[in-house]
Amino acid sequence: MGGTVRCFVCGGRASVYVSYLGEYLCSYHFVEYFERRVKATLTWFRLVEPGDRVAVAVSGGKDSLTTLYLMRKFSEEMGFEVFGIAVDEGIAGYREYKLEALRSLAREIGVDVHIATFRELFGLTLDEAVAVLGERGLKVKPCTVCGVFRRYALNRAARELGATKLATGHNLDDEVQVFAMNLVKAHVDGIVREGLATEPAGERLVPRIKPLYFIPEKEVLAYTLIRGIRTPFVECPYIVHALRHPMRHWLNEIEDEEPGTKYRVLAVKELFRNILPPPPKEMMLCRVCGEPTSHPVCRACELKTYLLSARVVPGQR
Amino acid sequence: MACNHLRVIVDIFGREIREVCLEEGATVRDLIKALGLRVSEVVAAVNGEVVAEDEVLPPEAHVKLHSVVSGG
Repeated sequence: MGGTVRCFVCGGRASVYVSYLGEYLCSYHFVEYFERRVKATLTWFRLVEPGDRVAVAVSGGKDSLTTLYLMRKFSEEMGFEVFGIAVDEGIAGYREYKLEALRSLAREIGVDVHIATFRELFGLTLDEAVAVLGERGLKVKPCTVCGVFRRYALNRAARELGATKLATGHNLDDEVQVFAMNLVKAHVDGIVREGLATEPAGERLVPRIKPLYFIPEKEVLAYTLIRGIRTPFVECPYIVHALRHPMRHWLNEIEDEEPGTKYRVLAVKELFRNILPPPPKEMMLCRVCGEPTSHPVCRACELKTYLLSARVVPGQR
Repeated sequence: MACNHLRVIVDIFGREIREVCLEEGATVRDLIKALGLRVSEVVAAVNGEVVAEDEVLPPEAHVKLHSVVSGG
């Protein structure tokens, strides 16, 4: 039995098995296949247009670094500008490593990166917020606070820096996992909201786009390894609190048994989104902070109040 | 324990390095399964090169497993 599997295009040594196609690709043809699909997503769905100023939300993980790298790669040819926005939540032993990888890639490809911090925006780090959540019985999960604060921080920074689009690194697996979580929680609004791109909804909300929407997470990792995009393997210490973890393993198990499952689930999600009423076009503005929201007071302000009201300032009692 | 078949050295996500004994002709996929991992959650590099799961492992291969599932 031969030891090497061969690329179905050129017969070279295969690097990647694309299970849903039943085909093998060498490094060269895999990179070409990968980049072609991301570019096709951008052009076919008009995610970006000439003259756009695209902010890429970058965490320093493989998905966001790949998004930054590819958006930079396509920017000149497609006529748009690119810069990065990172959010430093304040997670000791985690965020500093990711930011280091981000700075290194940004220097290499010549992209500016702006950093927004939870401490500046909300008055406390995520580590401090988790301590407060713990004291209150973890009724609110760390990922909830982090997700709400991050979305707030990214939108605000993108808008203040003049972005016309905010690109995130969400991949096929993210989309399918979130869809499945929304299903088990009967969270129909979430299903409607989470698509390939958001519609313009007022001046203060920067439209979001997801260039890796159709790309499986495993392919993103293979791409970074082949391209030499360095991403440190450090896990967020709070991931154990997320429902997403078991959901992701469950979906991966099914994908291994039935390749193409994730694409079929995504197709069902898109059908749902076509049938369900669309989200409201115009957002309200938060009565506290003035940021866009679908409620009178935004979730970020609610959480901030919940967290800070628990804190005792020394000398004030 | 002595390995009379195929011996490979595996770096599992940079956390642990292990010696694994497999049948001759075993593939990367066999190795991933033998370690109790899911194929869709791992990308493997054999002797420094990213390879497809059906690549047959050479003797004394150094395999580095990268985890697809990174938090955040």
